[in-house]
Order: sequence, then C-alpha cells, then structure tokens
Amino acid sequence: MTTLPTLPPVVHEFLAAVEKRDAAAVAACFTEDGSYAMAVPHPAVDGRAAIEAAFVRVLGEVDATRWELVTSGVAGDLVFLERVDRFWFGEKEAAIECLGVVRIVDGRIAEIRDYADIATWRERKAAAQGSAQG
Amino acid sequence: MVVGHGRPHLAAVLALDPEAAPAWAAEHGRPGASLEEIAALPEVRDAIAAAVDEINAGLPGAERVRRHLLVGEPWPLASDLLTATGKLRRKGVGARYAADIDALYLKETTR
Repeated sequence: MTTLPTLPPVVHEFLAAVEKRDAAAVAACFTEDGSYAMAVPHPAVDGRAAIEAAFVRVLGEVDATRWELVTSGVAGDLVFLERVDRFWFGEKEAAIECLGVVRIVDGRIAEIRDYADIATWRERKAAAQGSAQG
Repeated sequence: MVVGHGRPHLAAVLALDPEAAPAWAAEHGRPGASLEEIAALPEVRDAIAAAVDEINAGLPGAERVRRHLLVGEPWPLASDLLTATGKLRRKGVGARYAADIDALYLKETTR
C-alpha cells in the first residue's frame, strides 16, 4: 500500500471537483465511456454525460461537501480510497464511510466502484436534512 | 412503482433488487447472471406473479394490482429513476416506461 502523495493526479482532480461541487469537472475526470457505481451492488451510471447528470443531482442538493481520505493505496491500474464523504445541508453535516475502487486508464478514471452502506447514508441524510429544515 | 391515476385499475412497474436478485440467482445455479438475465427467467417471472397475487389477496378490489411489468434494466442511484439514496423518482420511472405502462392497459382492453 502506498500513501496519498503517490496517487494519480486525476484522483486529486476528482476530489477537488467534488469539493467545488462542479459536476462538469467531476465528469471530465472520467474517460468518455467511464462508469461510476455510487454504492455497489447498485448499478453504475455509464458514460461521462450520465456521470455528470448524477453528480449534478448529488452535489446540487448539498450546501457543501468534502470527501476526506482516510487511507489510500495503489495496485497497478487500481487506486483504493478509504474515505469519509461529508455533506452539509445548511449547517448540519451528514457523513458516510466509503471505500472507492478507482481504475485508471491513460490518466483518466475509467471506473469507480464505491462501497457504502446506502441505508446508513439514507438515515444520516434524512436526519441532517430534517435538522436543517427544522 | 404502482400506477393507475386516471386508469381503470392499478398496475405496477417492478424492478429487481440489485442485492437480492443476484444472490437468488447464485443460489439457483446462475452465478453472475445480470439483472436482465434474471428478470427474463420464467421461474422469476412466475415467483413475482405469485408474490403479487399473494399481496393482492389481502387487499380490497380497488387496491389490487391487476397488471405488472417486470423490468430487468438496471436502475442506478442518482439517475432519472432513483435518488442518490435509492428512493423512487416517480416522474422519471413513469416517463421511462410510459409506453410499457400504456401497453399494460391496452392488453386488457383489447383482450
């Protein structure tokens, strides 16, 4: 396993684009036929346009977000990102622990498979949104 | 998703659970089968129909699902079909399967 500075540049670009809530910049990190699975085994969205649309939805409903790396590693064309994805709804935060498997092709992201507990995420998000609205 | 507004009765668009369906397929000798392949299996379609009948048996007539459509197409999170937390987007599902939903009612009226 290696540490964060050795990660391919596109991984840092991706995380920065997410933090800026720039869906177009997120999608630009992917290959044209890239795919993104938000929570395996839920099916992936395929293609840059669909990825951008997905991130428009995800990033458009939050006031801020930051996907923090806990540990990371590289093995061949794969990058493993242990993350805590933090989202803010107003001042209320909802975070979800996640492991992302990223496959790199020619310096772009060809595939991300995120493993996260969607039921936990649903509960935390609802709690944060309820608090933010209440 | 149950539909039926402005229609003579209720119908439903059904999608397979992306966790449960592959697990079921693996237990039944079809490991690695896609959702499309699983949805096309006669035994799956029969089991879904039986489950719908079982649910209907406990409901009054007007609340029964008289027709259903089982789709094998994957429904990704944060898409036109599901929210990022897996909740249904009724408008998106209705639009995606509009012709199929119409056909559910057409079949009945032309029988």
